[in-house]
Amino acid sequence: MPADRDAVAARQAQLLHALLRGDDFPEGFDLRLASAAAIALRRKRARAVARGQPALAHALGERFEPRFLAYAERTAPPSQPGGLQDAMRFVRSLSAEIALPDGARTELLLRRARRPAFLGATRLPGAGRLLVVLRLPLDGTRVRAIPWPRRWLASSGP
Amino acid sequence: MSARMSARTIAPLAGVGLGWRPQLEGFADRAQLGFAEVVAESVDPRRLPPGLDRVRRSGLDVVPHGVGLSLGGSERPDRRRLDHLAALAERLEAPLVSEHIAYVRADGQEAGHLLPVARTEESLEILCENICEAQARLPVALALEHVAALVEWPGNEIDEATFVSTLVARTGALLLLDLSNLYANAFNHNWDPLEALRRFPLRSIAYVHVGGGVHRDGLYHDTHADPVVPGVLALVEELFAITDAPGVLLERDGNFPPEAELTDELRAITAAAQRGSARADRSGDAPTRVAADRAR
Repeated sequence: MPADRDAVAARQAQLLHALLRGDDFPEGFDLRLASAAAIALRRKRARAVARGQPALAHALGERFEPRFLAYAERTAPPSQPGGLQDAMRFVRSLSAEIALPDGARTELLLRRARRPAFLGATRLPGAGRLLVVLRLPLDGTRVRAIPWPRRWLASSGP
Repeated sequence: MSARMSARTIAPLAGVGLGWRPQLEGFADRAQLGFAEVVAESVDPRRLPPGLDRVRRSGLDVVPHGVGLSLGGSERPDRRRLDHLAALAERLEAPLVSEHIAYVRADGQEAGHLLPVARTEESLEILCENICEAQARLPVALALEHVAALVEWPGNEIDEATFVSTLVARTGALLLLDLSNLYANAFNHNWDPLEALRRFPLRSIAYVHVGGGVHRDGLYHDTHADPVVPGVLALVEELFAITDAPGVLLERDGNFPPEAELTDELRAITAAAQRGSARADRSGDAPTRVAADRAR
C-alpha cells in the first residue's frame, strides 16, 4: 500500500502543534513524556534566543529562563521558534515589567537592522538618547544617537 | 550526478572531531582535531566564515551537517535546500554530508527541533523516497543520523535498531551513529543500549556523534549544552570494543565552557575509544567483532 503523505502530514502537524502551542496531543502519546518534551522545546527556544541576544540574556541573568518559559507557555511561537521574531515578542512581553538596559536594546535593534533596507529606532533611557538605525541597499548602515528628553524615554516599550 | 558512493570508496574520518561553531573558532584552531563538521544551514558556501575556512585549509575534513531537509517529513526534499547542501559539500571538498531521520516542519510551522517519525513501514517508504531524491542531487555520500526523542509515536511497529538498519539497507545511505541519542532513547524509553547498539548497521558507520546532556526529573535531556555523561563515554568504549569505528565528533551548541574543559572532553572521548579497542585486541574477539569494510 503506497504511503499516504497527506495523512502523515496531518499527524505530524498535530504532534508539532501539540508540542509548540499546547494543543491536545494525538491519542496514544505518553502524556508525561509529551509534556516534558514540550518544556524541553521551550527551553531550547530560550537558549536560541539567548544565543542571538547575549546582551539581553546577560541583562536578565537568572531571570532570563523563567521569564522566557512563562512567555513561551502563553504565546504561540512564530514560524521560526528561537529566531528574531521570538526575541522581539519576548522583549515586548517584558517591557512593562523590566527596564532593559541600553546594551540589550541596542543589540536587538542592530539585529533587526540586518536586512537589505531598514529604518528603526529604540529608546536608550540610560544614555538619554534615541538610537536610530537606517540601512539602505548599497548605502550601508547609518546609526545616529539623538539626544532625547528623558521624560519621553521613561515610558515603556521598545 | 549519481551520489551512490559506497563506504568503501571514501577515506574514513578518523580521530576525534568537533562540531565547528563561531563561538569555538579559536579552540578549533588550537585543538588537535581529526576532522570537523558544520551545520549546513548556518554557512553560506560563497562566504565561508574565516575560522571555518582556516580549519579546512589546515587539511581537516569538514562535513556539512544539515538540520533542515526534514527527510522524515511528508513533503519532498526542497530543491534549494539540497542545492545548498551540495554547494557547501563542493566548497568544502567534503567526503560526505549528513542529515537526520526526522521531520522539522509541518503545516508551514518550523519545529526548531528534530522531531521523531513513527517507526512504521509507511514512514520507511516516505523516508526512502525522500532520501533517494536527496542522494540523486548530492555529489557525495549521505550519512543519516537517528535522533533523540522524548516522545514516541503510538503504533510503532519496530524498534529503533531495526528501523535504522532497514533504512540504511534500503537506501544505501551511511550511518551517523549518535551515541548520545542512543543513550537518551534507551534511558527514557527503557531499553538496553548495548544490546541495541550491536543491531545498528555498524558496517555502515561514516562517523560517530557524542554530545552533552543532563539528567533531570528522571529523564535524560540531550542538550548539547552540558558535559558528556559517563554513560555515553561507556558506549564509546563499547562501540570500539565491538567494531573498528571511525572518528568520533563532539557536539557542543551552547553554554560554552573554558577551553581546558573542552580539551578534557576530547581527551576523555579518545581514551574511551582506546580502552575499547584495547579490549577488543586483548580478547582476540575476531569472529564476533564487526568487520570494518571501510576504505581498505
